[in-house]
Amino acid sequence: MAEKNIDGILQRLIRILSQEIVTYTKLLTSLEEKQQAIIQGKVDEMQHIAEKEQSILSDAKLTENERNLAISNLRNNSNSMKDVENLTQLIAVVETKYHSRLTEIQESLKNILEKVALKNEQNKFLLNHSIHFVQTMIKDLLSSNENMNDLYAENGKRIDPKYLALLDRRG
Amino acid sequence: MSISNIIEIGRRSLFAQQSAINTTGRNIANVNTVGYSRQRLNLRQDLAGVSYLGSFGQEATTQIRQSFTDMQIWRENSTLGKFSTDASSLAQIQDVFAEPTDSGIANLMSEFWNSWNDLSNDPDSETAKIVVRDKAIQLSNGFNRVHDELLNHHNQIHLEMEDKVVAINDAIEQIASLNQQILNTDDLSLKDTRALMVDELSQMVDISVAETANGELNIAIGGMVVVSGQEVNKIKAQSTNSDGIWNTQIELEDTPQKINISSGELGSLLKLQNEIIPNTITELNTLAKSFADKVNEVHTNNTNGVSFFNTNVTSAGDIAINSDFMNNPDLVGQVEEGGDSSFALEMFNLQNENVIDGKTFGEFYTGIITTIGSKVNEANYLTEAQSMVLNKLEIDRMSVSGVSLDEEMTHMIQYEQAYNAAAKLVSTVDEMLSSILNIV
Repeated sequence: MAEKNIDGILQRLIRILSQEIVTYTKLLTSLEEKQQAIIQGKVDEMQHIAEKEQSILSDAKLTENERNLAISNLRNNSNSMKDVENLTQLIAVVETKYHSRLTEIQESLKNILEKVALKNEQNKFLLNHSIHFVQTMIKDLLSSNENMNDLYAENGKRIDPKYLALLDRRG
Repeated sequence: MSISNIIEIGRRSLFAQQSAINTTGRNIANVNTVGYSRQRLNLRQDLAGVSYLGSFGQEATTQIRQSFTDMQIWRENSTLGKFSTDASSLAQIQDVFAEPTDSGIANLMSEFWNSWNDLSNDPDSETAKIVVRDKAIQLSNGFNRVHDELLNHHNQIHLEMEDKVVAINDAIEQIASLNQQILNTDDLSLKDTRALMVDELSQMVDISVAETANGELNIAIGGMVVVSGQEVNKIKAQSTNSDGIWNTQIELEDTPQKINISSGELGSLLKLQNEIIPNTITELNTLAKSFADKVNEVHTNNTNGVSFFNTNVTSAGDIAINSDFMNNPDLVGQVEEGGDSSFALEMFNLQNENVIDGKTFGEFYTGIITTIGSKVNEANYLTEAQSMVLNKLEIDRMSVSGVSLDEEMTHMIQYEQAYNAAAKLVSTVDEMLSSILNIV
């Protein structure tokens, strides 16, 4: 197994992981903005943020593929790294000169990913409540006129409440 | 994220949604309530507590009102109040004259002249004399009736005007009271109630309205402040009566400061009471007095000094035929010995003489009727035009403040779609995270 390219692959992996830190930092900012939009009920802003988020996630997916490729290359080109599955294992087997950089990246990634996970979980919670809320509202709106049991037509006959619903459901 | 934070998020989120449901529910419940303004929930960040969640303050819910439209409506309302009161009151005055009908003065005058023509053809006919006498009685009664009914109408308008002043004072007291309540409570429906009161007031009298920074409404009538925050300066009607004709000035209750009222129902009633009806009565009186004087002149000159009508006619209300004619109709047109009985024809021809302001009796009377008629037409036209203006403004106001179930529904569907889209991204982020967390 040729080990001559390991330095190049490691340097490329470090660049990719650094790029992932930038991408997830952008995602965190976007998630924070989205949370405010959900709380304040700013639908237009929420849609705008969603478009931005999709773009960020698309970038993240590309970087993920590059990262997987780099790790695969490491496994294939180094006996010591053939069983590496994560950064902790990688740091344990790489040369000392890469230790501090990889450890630094690992800490940064852990930190940012925890924040992203937390914010995403919060948004999930808020969105579930919001969806439940609007569905309740829609149900209320659809049945609002049905509560008017005391309406009478000009001929003195009581109007069947089903004909008073916001949406015509007679069909 | 700690458990307590999650619970706090949930508590606030549920509170927010419950408040939103209440606000929308209130909007839907009041969809048919006159004067109700749509309310909107304002979610905002809590600076004191958990920083990333919204909470509610005193101004969390606001009314959707457009003060510019309100001001326009209040101004145009008083114009409509004036025109519509003009139209209904002037139409009643027009009805008093009962023209053109058999009982109208125009027809009674015409029949009176014709009776003299008949008498000229047979000057000694007692029947013809009785007809002249009876036509004169009918004409006198016609003058008396129109005069008395105009006076009655004038008195009714005076009473209505006094009632209107009481109603205006009630309204300004309520507005001042609502100003105070609005300062002390968050109940937004009080603002709607106050706006409705201002609507009513603006129809009664021309007002100018200014809203202060703390949300109080100050109101002035004819440039005089009648509501200043919670302070009230009532108005009063200061009236004098001369020969049954009222004249009224509107003043501030506490200070004898005259207020010029030009519009609104009160403005219309004042103009009708102080100008239009008195002027109409004066013209009718002029016609009746001139008529009696001229007929008396011709009759007295050609008979043995016998006047035809009473000699002291001062108004259309007291014109009457010589009471001697009642028992002795022969006195009608009875010429002196050797006199010329053809004076009956002279009497008949009086109708063509220009005797009042260069006009015949008929033309002068037609002038009175035409003036009232044109005022009625003008008032009806202006009422219709003003109603359209106000209707447009009401639609503008409703488009801003009114509750639309369709709109509420559209909002909800829009929200649902946006939330669902955002929820899908949450799953995508979760998937991405699980991938990268595996390698960290």
